[in-house]
Order: sequence, then C-alpha cells, then structure tokens
Amino acid sequence: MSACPSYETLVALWAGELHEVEAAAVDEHLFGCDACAAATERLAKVVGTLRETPPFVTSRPHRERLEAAGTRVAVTDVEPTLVTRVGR
Amino acid sequence: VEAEHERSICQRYSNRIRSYGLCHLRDGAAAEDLVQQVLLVVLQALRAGRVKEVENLDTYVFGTCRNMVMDMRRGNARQRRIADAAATALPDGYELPWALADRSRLDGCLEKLEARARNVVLATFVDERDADDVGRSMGLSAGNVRVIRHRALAHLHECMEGGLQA
Repeated sequence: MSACPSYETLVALWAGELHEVEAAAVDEHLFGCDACAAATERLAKVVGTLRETPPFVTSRPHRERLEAAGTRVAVTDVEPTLVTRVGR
Repeated sequence: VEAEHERSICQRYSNRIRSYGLCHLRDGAAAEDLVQQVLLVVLQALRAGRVKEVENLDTYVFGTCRNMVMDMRRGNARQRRIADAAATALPDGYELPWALADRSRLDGCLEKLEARARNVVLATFVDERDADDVGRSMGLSAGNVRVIRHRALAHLHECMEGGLQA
C-alpha cells in the first residue's frame, strides 16, 4: 500500500485540487487504510454538512444563489462585508 | 455465517464509499445511491467467487466506485436499475450507518474561526472556488489559501469533537 497522505493532501482532494492521477492514488489508499479512511470520514462529515444545508454564515455569491433558488435570506451587516447570515 | 460476513463487508466499506461519493459527486443523495450500487456489485462478485483476498477486495471496491462515479456523471440509466435492485440484495439487518454533523454546532464552530479562515472554508466548500480564485479575491497567494484552509478544517474538527467550546 502507498504511504498515508498528509492531512493537507486530504483537504486538497476534497477541494478538487489534486491532479486526476494523484487523486486516484489517494482514493485507492483510503479504501485500504483504516486510519486514513477514518480521517476522510471526519472530513466528509464536516464538508458534507457544509454542502448539504445552507450555512448560518455564508458568502455573498452563495447567498445570491440561494435567493435565485427561492430561499428566504435574512441579511445582517457584519464585518467583513463578504459575510452574511442565512435564515431558514 | 455468509450473511454475517456480508454484513461485515458492508460495514467496512459503506462509509468509505459514501465519503468517495461525497468527495467526487458533491451530492449526498447521489453518494447514498453509490453506496447501495457498489455494495450490490461487490456482494455479487463475492458470491460468484470473483474476489477472494481482502487486499484484492479493497482494490475491487475502489475500482467499482470509480467506474460507477464516471457512469453516474454520464447519467447512465443502468446505475438506476442496479440501485432499484439493491434494496433486496443487501444482507438482512444491514442499515446504512451515517449521519451528517450537527448543523448548529458546525455553525457555532464556523463563527469561532477568524473571519479570513471562515471565508476561505466557505469559498472552497460552499462556493466551490479553487485556491487561486479565492486567493485573488482575498489578496492572498494560493499557497496561503491552502494553509489557511487545512488549518481551518482541523480547527473545525477539533471544535466539532468538543475540544473547543462551540
């Protein structure tokens, strides 16, 4: 089995930034390594939740996509100005 | 004994398959479909004696995942038919075990991040922007964005698991 990828590499995989060949090698390792599988499952929980439901604090482009899809959004001006709040 | 062995295989691989699906398909429902489809194919292969060694099974499950994700991206209807059959083919008593994180706790942990780190996390995983793009908009190098990003995620994990007050 190949060496365990660093945590930074796992995050890059989830960000879609690894080259296809490197991503495939990391993915294959994750199926055979219990420790790395557990680490990526923890990442899956956080990143999956971020992607599944509108976050309480989000960016302006995401807010605009939610509004375009018909979601009611309550905006509170806070610093920095990129950050807004989403009502559900 | 055979059903128990199949349940243990489902338990070993279901979260790995789901993580793979979430990572590459970026859709929770599609990832759960993938779990059922892959487990069905793997169990059929085991029953037919096409896979024997554990190490081969890791490779076989990964290869099946990769092929199915490519098919799903192409919208291959065959996968849907396999999914329809999966409910009756998985071992009795097996339940898909996962749950998402506690949303309110995650929100609390996000708010505890520095604004810059929070923006990097949200820009990456909600807006799906790469490090170069995020760096340009925030006046940072792509390398800095990557460092901030993985540190922020590590901080979120620590917070979610109770190491920090959310």
